[in-house]
Formats: sequence, C-alpha cells, structure tokens
Amino acid sequence: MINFSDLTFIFRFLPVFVIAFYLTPTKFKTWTLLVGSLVFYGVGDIRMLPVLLGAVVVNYLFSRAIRGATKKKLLLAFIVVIDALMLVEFKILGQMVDNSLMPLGISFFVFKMISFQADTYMEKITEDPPFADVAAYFCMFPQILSGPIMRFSDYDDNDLIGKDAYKPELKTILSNIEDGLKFFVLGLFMKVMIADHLSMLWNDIGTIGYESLSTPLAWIGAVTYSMQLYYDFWGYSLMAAGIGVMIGFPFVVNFDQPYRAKSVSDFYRRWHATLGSWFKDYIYIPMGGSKVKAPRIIFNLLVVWLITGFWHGITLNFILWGLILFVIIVSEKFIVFKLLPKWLGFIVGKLHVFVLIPLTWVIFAIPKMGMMEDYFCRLFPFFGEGIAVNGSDYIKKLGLYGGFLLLGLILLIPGVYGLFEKNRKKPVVTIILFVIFWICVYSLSNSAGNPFMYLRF
Amino acid sequence: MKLLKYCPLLFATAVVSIILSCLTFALKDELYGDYAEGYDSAKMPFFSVMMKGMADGVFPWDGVADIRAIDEKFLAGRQSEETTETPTQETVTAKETEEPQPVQETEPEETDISGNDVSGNSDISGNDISGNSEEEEGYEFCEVTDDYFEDAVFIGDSRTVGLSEYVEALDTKATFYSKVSLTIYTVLDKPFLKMEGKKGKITVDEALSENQFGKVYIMLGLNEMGTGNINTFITKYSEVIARIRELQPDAIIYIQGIMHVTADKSDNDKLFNNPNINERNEALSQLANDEDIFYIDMNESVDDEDGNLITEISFDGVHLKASAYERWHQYLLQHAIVKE
Repeated sequence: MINFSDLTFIFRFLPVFVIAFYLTPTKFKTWTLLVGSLVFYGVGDIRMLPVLLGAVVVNYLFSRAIRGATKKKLLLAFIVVIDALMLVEFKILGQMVDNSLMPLGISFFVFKMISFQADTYMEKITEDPPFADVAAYFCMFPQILSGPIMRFSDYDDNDLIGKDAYKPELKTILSNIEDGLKFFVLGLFMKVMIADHLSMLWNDIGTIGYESLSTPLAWIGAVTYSMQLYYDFWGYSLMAAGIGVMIGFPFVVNFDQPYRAKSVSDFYRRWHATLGSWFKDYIYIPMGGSKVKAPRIIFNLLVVWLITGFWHGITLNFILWGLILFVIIVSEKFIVFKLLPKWLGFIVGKLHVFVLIPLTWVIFAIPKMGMMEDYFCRLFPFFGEGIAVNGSDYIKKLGLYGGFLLLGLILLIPGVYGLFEKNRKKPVVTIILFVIFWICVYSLSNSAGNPFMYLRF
Repeated sequence: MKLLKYCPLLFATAVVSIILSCLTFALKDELYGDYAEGYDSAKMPFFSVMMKGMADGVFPWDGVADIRAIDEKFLAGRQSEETTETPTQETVTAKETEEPQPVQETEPEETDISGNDVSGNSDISGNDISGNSEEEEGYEFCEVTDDYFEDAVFIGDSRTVGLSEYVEALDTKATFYSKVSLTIYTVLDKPFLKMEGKKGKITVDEALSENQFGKVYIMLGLNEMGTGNINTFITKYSEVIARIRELQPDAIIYIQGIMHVTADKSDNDKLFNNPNINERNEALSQLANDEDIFYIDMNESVDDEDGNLITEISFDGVHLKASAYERWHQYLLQHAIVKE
C-alpha cells in the first residue's frame, strides 16, 4: 500500500486521508497529517517505526535547545553528527546484514532533520514551531519514502495547518485537490507506463548477460536505464508534490527538465533538485563554496560528490559514480567553460549531458565491478570481445519496447512538460489526463498481484 | 453543481470508479466469475476484477451467453487449485493408459511419486534408459554433430527462445516453434507461428500437420507451475505428446525435463522452486517409452552440486545468460538417439 502507484494507495488510503484531513477542524489538521503519516509508515515497516519516532523526538528537543542556547554551534554539531551517524550506521547494517534493517526513507528524513537543525541554527526558522508541526514535517507521508527534501519554510507556507491556519472554502479545497490530482496523474503515467516498462527492458538486458550484448543494444540499454531512472523518480516526485498540493502545500520542484541542461553541473541543479540544493546549502556553502581559492573549491566539490555517492549507496559503484561526476564537474568549471571558445564549450557541455550522463547511469546501475567492466566492453567493443553475441538482438528489443522508448524520448523534449503545466486547467488536458489515468489503472490491475510482471518466462 | 467546474477530473474519476465498482459487483457471479474467485480485497480495488477480465477480452457488454466459450478458453490457464493433495501415481497412469505406451507397470508400491521414494524407477528419469526392463532393443544416447538437428523442431517457452537466439549452430539447422510464456495448455492451439510467404499466424498443430520432422524436442512446464496442479499438467502434457505422435508418426520425441532455477530463486519462491520442478520432471520422465519417446534432462549441464541452476550463469534466476546456452547445446549433442 505504501507505494504511490499502488491501487490500494490511490483508491483507498489517499481518498480516505484527504477527506479526513479536510473534515478535521483547522486546529487539529496537523495531527491528522501526522497520524495519517505514521499509519502510512507503520503499514510499510512497523518494526522501524520506533526508529523514526525516536529520531523525531530527539531532533525536536535539540532544535528547541539550539534556539535557546548560547553555545549553539556545539549543539548543532552534536545533533548533526548524531543524525549522520544514525544514517551511516543503518546504511551499513542494510548493506552488510540485511536490507530490511534499513528503515524506509531514512536517507530522506535524516536529511530533512539536518536541514531543520541548520535552519534553526541560522535563524531561518524564527518562531518556535510546536511539536506536532515539526513531527508532521519530518514524517509527512507524501515525502517520507523518497523525498522531495522539502524545507521547513515550504511546510510553513501551508495556510491550512499550523498557527495561522484558516478554514478554506469548499471551492478552494476542490481546486487544491484537482490541481494536485493532475500532477499526480502525470507522475503516475510516467512511473507506470514508461518507467515500469523500460525496467522490463533493462531486466531483459540483464537476462541476456552483459557480456553477450550487441553494441547497439548496449547503448540502447544505457538510454533505457537513464530514462527508466528519470521517469521513475520524476514520476514519483510529481506524485509526491501533487499529494502535497492536494493538502495545501506549495508545489515542490524536484526535477526541472534536467536533460535540457548545458552542462553536468547544470544537470544536477535540475535533477533531484531538492537534494542538490541541500548539498549546496548545508555542505558546499558552509565549506566556503566557490568563494575560495581554486584548490579549495576542488576539495569542496570532492567532499560534496563523495558524500552524494555514499548517500545513494555504500557499494563501490556509487562512490565511483560520485567521483566521476566530480571529475567531470571540475573539468567543466576549470577547463570547458573557462578555456575553450564559447561555441565549443557549448558543444562539449551538451555532449556531457547526452553521452556522459547516460554512461554514468550505467555505473550507477551495476553494483558488481566485473559486470560493469563487461558492460563497458560491449559499449566500446574495441576493449574486448563479447561471448555468444546475437548481433540482431536490438532489433527484437526495439520491436518489443520501441514504443515505450519513444514515449520517453518525446517527454524528454523540454516543451512538452511546460505545455502541460501551462495548460493544465484547460479541458483538453483534463480529458487527456482522465484517459491516461484509466490506462494506468488498467495496466496496474493486470500487473498487481502478479509478481512476474517482470518475469514472463 | 456549480462546484463541479473546480474539479472536473476529480469528479469524473470518482464517478467512473463508482460505476465500475457497481458494474463489477453486478457481473461478479456471471461474466467475471473466474476472476472474482482469486480476488484479494486487501491487494486491489474491486473493479480490478473487471480489468483483469478485460485483458483477456471479456468485456462487460459481452452477453452472458458467451461465457461458456470464454470459460473453456481460459479455464485451463486459470484453474484454481481444486484439490491440492499430493498427486498420486494412479491418477497419472490412469489417465495415461490410453496414451502413447503403457510404460508404467501399475504395481501398488509405485503409487507415490511425489515423495522421495522413486527407487522403483529412478533410473528411468536419468539418462540411462536401461532401467525399463520390458525394453527389448534398448537405444543408447550417443554423440552427434549439428547435422543431426537438420530435421529437428524445438518447441518451448522463453528458454527455448533463448536457445535459438544464442546458439547459432542450432538456429541455422533446426526449426524453432518457441514463444515467450508458451505453456503446455496453449502450445498447440495458440496461433503464433509466422510461415514464409503466408499471411497471418498459424498454430503449432497446423505447422506440425504441414511439415514433417525427424525429431521433436519439447521443453515446457515452468510457466505452468503457477496454475493448475501436477495432475492437470501431466494430463495435458500427455495429450500434447499423443497429438504430436499422431501428426509426426516417424519422429523421435524428446521430452526435456524442466530446467532448474537458481538456489536463491528456489529458496524464495513458493511456486517456482526446484523441489516442484523435480516433482514434475519425475512425472514427465514417466511419459517416455524409450522407443520413440525419450526423456532427457539437461539440468546436469547447468546445475551446481546441490542440484540448483548455477548462480553465475543466470541473471534472473530463471533464464540462462546468453553465454550459457552453449552448455545446453553440448548436452543435446551428447544425448541423441540414432535409429538405423
């Protein structure tokens, strides 16, 4: 149930929650959000609920202490270290012992907590928010699993909850829900109709075995995985933001057309933007950011990208992924956009986005070094020969999945999403969304309860 | 009503959900009876029942009169376990007696093949066919070259598809009637074969009527693990064999044991695990008569010492990686029957 693209979530939890939320008197809406979120989390992973609750209480107490203290810095450092250690420890446990030991969404709620403490310290949060608000901010179910990492100031912008909340008119409620639903449906479509199908193709590619891919298929695979990841996460983010809009929060932009970027550093301002800005505000800038000498900037970037890699996972491939991005970004900053003529810099930057980024996703995708090596040998066949390669494998795969790839490529065109966003109040868009919503439900009905959607023998 | 203009999408979605639910409720006993049976209310909304039906081409506007035809078509696949008792030898042999050959001596102690006690006929299941005492002229497996497959046809699911795609030597010599997610229930009647110079697709039954082969290799059975039970499976399998025998009177028929899954897959799957596969393979081996129908088991070429598919040669635990199909090919080359 705790998956936005699960039919029981869409048709049961979500409507029940939204109705309950709006039926609750203004004063207690925060509690409805908190309790609903805890139920959501508990259904997903009841064993780890105490971990979340403990972290919430400890962080709340520390934030109060920081606000009143004279030695603020020490307290901040202390709680940040505690939060970070908790995250690291559970990540290691999850990796080394058993995946189920990692509490759901811990990477995200811990980052929210650290951001909350830092904002308190920097006095961006001036008033003393009550416990229920802080807890609801940390736990709110639209964001607890995979972000977006919303700031407390955005949480506070919701006029339906908190201290200065007002009672909305029915038409405001309905248009909130309607608008949120539109983003939700588009996100659902990206996830169910594009990402899930592309992940089947990626799985097929694994089934063949990387050492046996034809070179065209290996490249199609790189594109496939890149798009799968993009639509999976963008779709999720749209659904999460849409649910937020339904209950009065501002729309949180987590993906801003990343493939429109002019460079890799630009790409990561647009890709998972709330994570990028988290790193910028709480690590990069406190370390001096770009206002220091060149060697120090390079060092700062190294720290940021090592932590980014580690945050995604503690296997070697994620660290390698972070390091490669670090190298590309440094080269962009000090060579491509500094020394090359402008037009050449433009071309190189675009190449980075369209060629290097998909290649870095391949590294991201394959945790085993040997298999990664095999994959790159097939991408660049002059590195080595394949085994039992069927040269026409890609034609067959394109026949099966070409439509989904095409759909993904169309949505990659920057104007398409903009068109939706601008015209989403028009009847045409409403009708289209209505149709794609039911296509998704149809597809989900026929794959739900069927664990072999990805495994048809 | 004025409020509607603020939320057309919400309204339309809510109304359609309600209509669909009501419709499903009204049709749940008749048109969608088969689908409602497996419905788990904790997992999905009620109207998913209808949508599952629609995926099979059963639409609400189809009259109740058509149900029968549809039923027959899909019941085989969706058999809900009528009785999940351990199947006994009697049921298998009983249904088989009219079938290819009365291989099986119906001795009383043979009644339990589901257990581990297969001592009575364990040697049949292996590659050593000497076990069948009634056999007069025993055929021995011998090694052949790829030319052996010139007049062979391979029938199977995705695994056989893989064999055709990644063993060029076989693909160029033999014929393949294989398709992803093919099952013993659909193998003969599903039109999926494209013939050169002909429009449309034909069934395996039709293709086998038109073309004669010297050898017919079959590997089916994994997709079937989730539906029906061992009895329905073996019964259907023997029917298929009988039909192929009829269409291909001179061919050697090879029943291939179902390939294993990896240990990891086997340990974590209630249906698709090696004990279940072994149980079915054991029963499959009984369908051979060692005269013109032979049972071969390629698992020895891909198993580890514990009888599971070797982890390194599979990505998903079920399929061989492209580079591992050669093992199967080699096994086939070494386990051929040559009749003079």
